[in-house]
Amino acid sequence: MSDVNLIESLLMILEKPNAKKGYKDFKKYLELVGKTNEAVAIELLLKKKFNDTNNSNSH
Amino acid sequence: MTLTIQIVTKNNEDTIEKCIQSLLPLNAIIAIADIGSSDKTINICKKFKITTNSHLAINDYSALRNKLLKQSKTDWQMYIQPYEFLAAGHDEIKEIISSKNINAFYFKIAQGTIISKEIRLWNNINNFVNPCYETLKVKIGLESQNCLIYSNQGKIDLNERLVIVDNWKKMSPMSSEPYYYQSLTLLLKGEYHMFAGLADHYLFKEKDGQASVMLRYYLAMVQAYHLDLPSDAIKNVLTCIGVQPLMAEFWCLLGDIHYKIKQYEKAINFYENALILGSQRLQSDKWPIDVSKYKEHPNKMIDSSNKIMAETKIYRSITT
Repeated sequence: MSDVNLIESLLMILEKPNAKKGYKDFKKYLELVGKTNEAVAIELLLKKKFNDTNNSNSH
Repeated sequence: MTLTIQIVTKNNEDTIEKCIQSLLPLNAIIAIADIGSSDKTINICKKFKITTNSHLAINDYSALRNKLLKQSKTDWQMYIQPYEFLAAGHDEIKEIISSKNINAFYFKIAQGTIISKEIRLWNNINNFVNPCYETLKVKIGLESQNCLIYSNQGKIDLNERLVIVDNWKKMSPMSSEPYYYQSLTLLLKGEYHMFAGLADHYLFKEKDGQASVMLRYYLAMVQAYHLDLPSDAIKNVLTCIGVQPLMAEFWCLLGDIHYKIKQYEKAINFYENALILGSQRLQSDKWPIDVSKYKEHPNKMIDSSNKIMAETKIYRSITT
């Protein structure tokens, strides 16, 4: 995933902050660049906001 | 005595007494360099039997501070601003300076609701850099547990700082750093258009790092609140979030911008993100923290947004 995907995921969050997709992509980006704590925090956000229990680590 | 605490003063009669009093329990040498006080600052220092060395108006604060470091005869060094006071951590400091281990320690600096971290106590080879807004060159240090300094920001002569920065720019024409400090000084002066221009210039050259991200955040605030450029502000906040998604400050600003443009549902979502992600922020990171943005502000704004949306709904149901 490149920087373009970071921008895309953030734009998705901006457009639809009440939808999962942008956050999931953002989490994947954070995992890829080694920002583990931040990725874990997004995971928590997905759980709290969307009751998302799909604990996928797939990139 | 094993500790020297340096203070550079200029017309700080309102705050210097509290500052010195807070340091007395440390039983340290207090080295005061006065750069032209015309008020009672020097007399107040004399009351504590502290000798002040007078210096002429200066154009390089680091040079002065490094001179004080050279004159110091103690192993440990500390600095504090005349408008600050040491609120907590005296015992910890005493314990630290009884050690011979080479080290440097970050203190928490509280100013209003904002807490930042700076190295304030060290015994390693370190010196100050930058002619104004001087800072220590070596940034590697341990985090102190309890050391807390309160800052009043006090009287900073912003025009004097601008003159120094201007000279700095002439001396280092290729360096982007003076632009950073010049833009922040203009921000403090409330000269928002000039701030935005210089911030843009700096950010064009320096894209990464904490300084750039924080400057971008300030730029976004100015664009949102003073220049009426919400789209540009949003773009800049998103860039900040891309680097530091756990900063509740960034999500709150995104919420504030959407609140301002009456997109309340979106605003609520961003405030929720501030609450959830902010709660996951590591205490050990060195970025400044605006504590109000981690609970108080987002909760207040969520309540307000919900109230406005409910009132709008009632109004619509009545009028249709």
